[in-house]
Amino acid sequence: MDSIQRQELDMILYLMLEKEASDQQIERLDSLLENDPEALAHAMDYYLITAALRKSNAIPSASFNTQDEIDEQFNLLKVFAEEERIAPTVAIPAEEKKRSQAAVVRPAAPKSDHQKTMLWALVASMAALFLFFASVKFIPNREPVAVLAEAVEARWQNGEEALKIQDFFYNTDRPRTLRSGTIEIEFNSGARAVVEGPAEFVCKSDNMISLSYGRLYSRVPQHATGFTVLAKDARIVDLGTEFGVQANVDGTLELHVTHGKTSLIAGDKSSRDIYQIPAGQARKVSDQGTSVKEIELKGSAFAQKIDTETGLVWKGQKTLNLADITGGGNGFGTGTLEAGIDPGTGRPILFGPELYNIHPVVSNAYHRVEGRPFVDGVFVPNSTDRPQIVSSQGHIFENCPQTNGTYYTGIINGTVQEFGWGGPGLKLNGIVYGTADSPAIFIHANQGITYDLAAMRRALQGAPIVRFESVCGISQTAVLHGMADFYVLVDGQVRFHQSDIRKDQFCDVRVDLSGKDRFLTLATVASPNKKTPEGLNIEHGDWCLFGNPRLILE
Amino acid sequence: MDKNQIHSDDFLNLLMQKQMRIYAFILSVVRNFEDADDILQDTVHTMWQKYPECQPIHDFVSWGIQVAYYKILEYRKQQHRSSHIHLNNSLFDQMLTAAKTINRDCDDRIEKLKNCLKQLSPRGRKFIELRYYQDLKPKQISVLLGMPILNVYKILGRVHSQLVHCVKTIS
Repeated sequence: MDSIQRQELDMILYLMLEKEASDQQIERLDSLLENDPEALAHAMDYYLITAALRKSNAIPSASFNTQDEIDEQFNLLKVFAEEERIAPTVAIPAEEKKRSQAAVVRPAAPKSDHQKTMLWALVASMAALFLFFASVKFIPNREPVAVLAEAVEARWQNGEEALKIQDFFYNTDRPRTLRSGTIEIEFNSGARAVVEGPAEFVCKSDNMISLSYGRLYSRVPQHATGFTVLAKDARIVDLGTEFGVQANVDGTLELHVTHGKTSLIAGDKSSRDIYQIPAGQARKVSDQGTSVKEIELKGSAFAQKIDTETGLVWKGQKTLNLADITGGGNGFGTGTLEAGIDPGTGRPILFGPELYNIHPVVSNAYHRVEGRPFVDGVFVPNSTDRPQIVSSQGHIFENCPQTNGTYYTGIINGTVQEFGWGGPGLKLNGIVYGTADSPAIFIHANQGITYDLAAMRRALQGAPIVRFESVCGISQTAVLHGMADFYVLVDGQVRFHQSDIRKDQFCDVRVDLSGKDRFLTLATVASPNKKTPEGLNIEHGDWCLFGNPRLILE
Repeated sequence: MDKNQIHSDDFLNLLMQKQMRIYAFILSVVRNFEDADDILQDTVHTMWQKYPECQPIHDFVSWGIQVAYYKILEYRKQQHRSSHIHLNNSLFDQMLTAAKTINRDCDDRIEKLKNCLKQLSPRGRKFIELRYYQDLKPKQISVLLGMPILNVYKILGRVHSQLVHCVKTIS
């Protein structure tokens, strides 16, 4: 067989593989194979090589950098197979059979006709594996595999280059040490991992991180299923989920699964066991991976989302505290008690005796607030001369009452405990408000504040804010003649209004919110029906507060 | 861990390691991916069912090829199937005989194949990657790369030929 014949033979062999050979070519091939032993032997070599291309690890071996990475790809095969074995049966239309690829299957106890369906479901999962492989390109020596997406107070090991937002992590990086603070890494696959310092890690590929020690919380979109966290004696493979991992320097590891499910592979290469861990469960791995024990779930122990701009570190809390935000915090307790905002200027203030006897008279101008990313602006409600604007987008409070344009103290996160006429601090229904445990926005009439819901959603990376809840009233510690109206607006529209609330009276507020709602406004004005002692301003004694004001996160 | 679980784990491990050889046997007889894939699936299904009762199995590949052999015979009986599988009896017997020796020096040749893949031109590697690693059909590759499908067949045919030649000649 000369080289020309061999080329002709190879071309027909290939077209045959793809079912694209013509009848004449098939006849020619059969003739060659039947009459030429050399051609037949060559064809056998050809088929072996082709089978190896299709069904062995030859291509990844020739493409990936290390044996560890190849091992990990094939570990996934086991994981997906195990996943399919325990998954509910999924019927696949008959026509899909033709399109499916033959693949490794995970056997289960033969019981019924569903077996074959399960087999096909498993084959479908193998297709997912191929997709996973497809997501990993031929790797040259050094490739970016992830970026630093967010960072809050991150301090890196001395001598290491400090990373900036959007800086790359490379697959060939040496281990990085985060001494303190929190970072969020976005992998090329779409998986995200929040890492809390102190921690040491390497982003090994676009869907894999190796964690020597530290805490990590990962969120993996469906298309990045298979995201893997490598630790000393265990590895965790995502199956469409969110989970937290704490790897300790002594080699022990905790896995906390908050959503979806994961596979935990414990042990070394010679002996690995696979465990399926569903949402709501946690495991501790110790003794070189030989001991895997169930432990109490502590999902809220992990930073799950962070935001560079606001410094927000979210650990799964279900509420945002608006009093804390008013005091300069991020809603999770980082604000300052007795700090607030002057509605006449938009500037920050700290409550103290110097404010006790000041009653400014100002316009109804809307003032943007700097330095508090979740507060859009403040104002002194009064529609006497012009419409009342209540947001930076120009939303109008249509039926805003006319007031005297006077306010008292500012809008404050709580108040000093010595302050009070009929007793210290703020009190409603016997509960002392304005403390860290019972927060409150002290918003004496006439004042208004608008919060930026969209900014909060951005910082929480889309976490839905579904409701505003609070109790509102006039403090029991106010003077007798206090009487005010309370408003809650969303994008300028009144969603809650309670008029003529007197000292010692209170009511619950519950305003549902949707993803389209941009601004939430709280306002109080002196009741027009109120009668104050001669010589006192009409707003005198209106010690209004929103107790435990919170946004509910879904 | 119960007995079924142990069998399942064993079977999976063996299949992961050996299925390529069973597939090579099937492919060399039926000569196209589509039929070979179907037969491999049926073969694996039967192997999975029979695995517990066939213990001990000393040679997993030989057993798999034996199961595959009967599956191929079943396929041949289905007259409505593609003519691609309709070899005349004489050639079919020749192919079967030759195919049973196909796994000779298999490990050595796969190692050589890995080296040969590294020696391919970037373009050749890309085509192999697209066809086998990303599992794209020639038609999809032609759309992806914006080239006539005939050219895709030619290039892939040529790259296969290079690989086979390289594996045969590389030391």
